[in-house]
Amino acid sequence: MDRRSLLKMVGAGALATTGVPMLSACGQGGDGGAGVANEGKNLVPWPTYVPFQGPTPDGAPDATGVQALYKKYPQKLVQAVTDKVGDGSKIKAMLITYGTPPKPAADNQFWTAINKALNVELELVMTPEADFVKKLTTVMASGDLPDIIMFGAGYQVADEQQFIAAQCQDLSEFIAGDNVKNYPALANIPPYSWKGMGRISGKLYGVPIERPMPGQQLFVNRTLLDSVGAPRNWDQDSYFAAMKALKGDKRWSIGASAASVAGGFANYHAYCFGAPNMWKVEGGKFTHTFSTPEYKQALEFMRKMYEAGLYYPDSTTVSQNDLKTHFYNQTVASMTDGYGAWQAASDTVGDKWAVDLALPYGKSATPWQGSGRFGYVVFKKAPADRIKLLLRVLNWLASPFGTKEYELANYGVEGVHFTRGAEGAIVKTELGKVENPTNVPIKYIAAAPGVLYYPGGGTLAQRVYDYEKVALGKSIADPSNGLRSETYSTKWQQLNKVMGDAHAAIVFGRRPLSDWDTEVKSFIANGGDKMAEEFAKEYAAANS
Amino acid sequence: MRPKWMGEPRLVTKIAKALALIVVVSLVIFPFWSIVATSLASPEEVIANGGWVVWPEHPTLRIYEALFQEGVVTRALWVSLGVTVFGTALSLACTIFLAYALSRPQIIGGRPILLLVLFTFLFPPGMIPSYLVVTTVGIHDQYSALILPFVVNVFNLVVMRGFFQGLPGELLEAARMDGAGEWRILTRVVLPLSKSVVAVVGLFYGVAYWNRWFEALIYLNDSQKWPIGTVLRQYVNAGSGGEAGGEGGVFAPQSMQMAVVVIATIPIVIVYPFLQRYFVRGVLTGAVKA
Amino acid sequence: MSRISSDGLPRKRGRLRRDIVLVLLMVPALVYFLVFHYGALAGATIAFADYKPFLGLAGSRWVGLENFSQLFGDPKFWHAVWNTIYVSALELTFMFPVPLALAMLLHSLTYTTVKRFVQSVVYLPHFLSWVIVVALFQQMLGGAGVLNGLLADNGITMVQIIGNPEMFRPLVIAQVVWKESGWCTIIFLAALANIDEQHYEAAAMDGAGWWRRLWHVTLPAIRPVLVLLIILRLGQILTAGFEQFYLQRNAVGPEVAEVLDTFVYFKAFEGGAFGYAAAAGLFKGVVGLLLIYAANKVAHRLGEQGVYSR
Repeated sequence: MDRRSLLKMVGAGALATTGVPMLSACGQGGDGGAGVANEGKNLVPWPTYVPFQGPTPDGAPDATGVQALYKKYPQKLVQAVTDKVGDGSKIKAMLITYGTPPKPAADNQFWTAINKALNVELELVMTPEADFVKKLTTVMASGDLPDIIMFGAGYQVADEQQFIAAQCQDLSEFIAGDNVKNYPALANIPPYSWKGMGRISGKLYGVPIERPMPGQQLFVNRTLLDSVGAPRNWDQDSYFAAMKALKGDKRWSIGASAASVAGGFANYHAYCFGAPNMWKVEGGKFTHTFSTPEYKQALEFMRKMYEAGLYYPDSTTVSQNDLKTHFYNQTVASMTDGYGAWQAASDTVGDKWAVDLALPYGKSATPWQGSGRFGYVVFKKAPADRIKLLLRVLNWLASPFGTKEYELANYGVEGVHFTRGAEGAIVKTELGKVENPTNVPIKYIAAAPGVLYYPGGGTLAQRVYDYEKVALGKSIADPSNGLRSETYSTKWQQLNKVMGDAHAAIVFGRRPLSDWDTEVKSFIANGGDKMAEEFAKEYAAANS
Repeated sequence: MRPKWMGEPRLVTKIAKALALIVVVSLVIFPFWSIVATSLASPEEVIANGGWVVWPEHPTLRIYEALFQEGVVTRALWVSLGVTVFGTALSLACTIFLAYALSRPQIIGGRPILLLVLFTFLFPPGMIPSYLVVTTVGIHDQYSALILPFVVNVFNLVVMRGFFQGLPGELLEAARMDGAGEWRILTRVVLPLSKSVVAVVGLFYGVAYWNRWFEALIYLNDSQKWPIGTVLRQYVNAGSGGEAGGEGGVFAPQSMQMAVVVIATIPIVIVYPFLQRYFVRGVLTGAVKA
Repeated sequence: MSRISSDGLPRKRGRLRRDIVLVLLMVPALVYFLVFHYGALAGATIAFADYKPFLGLAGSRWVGLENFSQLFGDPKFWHAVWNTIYVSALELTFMFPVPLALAMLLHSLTYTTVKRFVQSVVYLPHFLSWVIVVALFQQMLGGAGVLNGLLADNGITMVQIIGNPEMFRPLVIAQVVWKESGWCTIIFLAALANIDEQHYEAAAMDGAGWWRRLWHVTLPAIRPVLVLLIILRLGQILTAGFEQFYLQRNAVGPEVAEVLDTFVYFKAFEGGAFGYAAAAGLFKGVVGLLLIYAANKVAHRLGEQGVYSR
């Protein structure tokens, strides 16, 4: 073949590409993407908070975010929803899943029971976590939206807010201010969770899936720590000494994973050194935690522990799942994980040894609060009646602890998915381990705010409560939480990736600590400063 | 049977060969054994061993029973089987037809068509455009979305065309002289001579259909229609990921993940030995005297 | 019409009549390419836009060559290109000789049962996903893995293979060799099976030993397939398995593990720069095109068919 015919082919290919207007048909035009900021907009009020008056807890919740503690399952459950919820119609919801694939609704007693209670036909589009963003992006591109879409789970999808503002239903008239009282369970979602979701252009577009205030935690093997005489209320030196003492022949003191080394693991050390939670506000000015001296000191300390050989040797590659296995079998003595992981840990470990949450070391420690939400759901634009129906579905699914609806949504059908043990405690059946809201992930449509009750959890729930009592008082929030920044939404993921790479390189000794300053400089220059500016404006608008 | 011309190899050669085979086989078998062993072990044992078991103390088929009783995996296996059988048949037909046509010298438009096809090999469409085509054609949420977008693979096409070109021209000419049309030549002369390449390309297609998982996830909203690859992916990923830690719940234990790996691998692996006999026949032997 | 003979139309018509069966045979596959490839290729135009998926192509802003100028001015892009070429070159170096040698070894076996058994075994790893392959390698070679456990038990210092940037490329190649060697033998075995036994017989009668039979009978017989495979692989030189690198990137950092596909992934799905990612995709295709063109030319010089004819 000669060059000319090759070029001709390229030309033909290019022609073919422009000749088919396939993509343009799907565009919606409209809002070019700007205009999601709240600054200078009319802000609708946050939904009024009307806490549910449930069963009396064994440990009271408080304003710092400490959750209600229940040592026993309530004897008497109330019926939260008496009106009809659905009209038998189909509802398609796109959700993330961390579970295994469930049986179809018809053969799945849990799913069937939920459908029956709601009087709707839930069609769930479930996407495993690893591919969640890709699926979401294609659905956003097709313009063919399901009724309910879940966002979040730690991901900021490109142009997420712009997409929502352009194509999803504005819920303000339904849930802003006192309107939310039509949906009592949604009114029971605490304000920090709504604020964590935030408004878009001053309006409310979604309903958050609440998570308690504590962010990522350091889980420790208390039994091992006790064996080396480590104090519960430790400082930096006693922490380091304990980690050194725990390092054994085939045991490592510290487990980090590919997912946590620049995330939860770094966060724990950063707040122990007193670094601000993502951003610091001073005189209306935003500064990122990366550029604080405390953060750099934390990195230096993490590196020092690496040099002392305290990390599990495959910390950078091991998956969070495998790391958990090593934690459970006591190969590693500590690891960071999401707050809710204590339940699974307790389940697996039983009474072989004591799982515990580590208090932060250091007197000036400032534990970081989470965003108050796992994610949030938005609706496809629809007539008011349909939206109200969807909100009723959410309201039912978010029914609080102590209601019959909660029991069904969380544990399934009595006698099928669970039985009652001593003092009415929930005991899962074998079927309940397969048919549950993890594998049929309705808990990502809407869920009740968490309480500290754990079937068969014994003393662990109490320990977690005690932890919250001590740690949350000193904890600080991320001031940018729920605020909008154009630069953040387009640049953060990438900049954070670069910074994450730098974390790993510095902590694991591949690059000198001094490189951190260079990285921070380029972080600021490449968007960090613009984010700070935009957040500062939003912050001022939100707090005026 | 050793052909006469080969002669008896020296002992050193024999030993070297045997050693090489043992090393190669054990490099593969050992990790595979640990996958199977892990699937047979109890969850407690898996945890005690740090995720992988080499020799289960109390091997049990409990997990396999549970998986097959649950029905999701069984269903996915049937989906994969259907997609693989129909897809491979369709793919083979289309590929053979096009490859044969393009292997004929002087076919009208042959070169531009070949180049247009090669061009797609170099510029694969992105994920979003492919998805939009699938929805435009209207096959999303249907099993055909697992077949139609993958009918012809350029690599397989080129391999097959190359093989057809290598067939002795005299044979085809002779058939033509006898008045056979192209269809007759293809089915009566070319294909019988091409069993090995058809077996290879068929295997390539079959395995690709069997293993494909990502597109099912994107094109099919209903997880009931997912093939085994996608279901396997979900099992292997269940409970992993950064945020998952906080999500509590009951995740698939390692032994269950490995059991699904075994279940998903066996059906396609046992196909291979059956195809191998088409490789060992010297199909051209005796057909032409070179 | 028939008078305009300089257009060659009548001749073409004659050819069409002659080839009608062949043309009909081509139709199904061509429809497929037209719909699923050329239809979707319209998407390549997003390389010239600031494409936002939810706005569609019509709603996105056209930026001309801006994506390309940004791409070519980005040192990280060139770094990823370099890493990809490095790995591809290593793969080219190993992933032809190893499977070929394995195929020849298998082909030389006389016991059919042994042969089939070994063949079936070495082909197994192809069916494991990268998640599992990476986990297995870590289990074997990791700091807390089998190998280091053995070393530690014998008082030998640990070797850091996993998570060591210097060992990363050999590790990646070892993984590919382990996973795909057996699979790649298939095509060679099929080619070897097609060699006329009589050639061997004739060569043996001429007194040719093992080595000369390999050189004069075996290699010439599989050369066309080999050339074909190499040319096609060259066309994919800027493609190095996405998932394999994505999974292990954190361990060693982007310095050695950022390949073009991971780079593009992060740009598109974490940065929302779909147009930019598409531009990188076009670049990849053009490089592949040039390489195939050049490789095919070389093949022709050497008297081979190549992928397409002269």
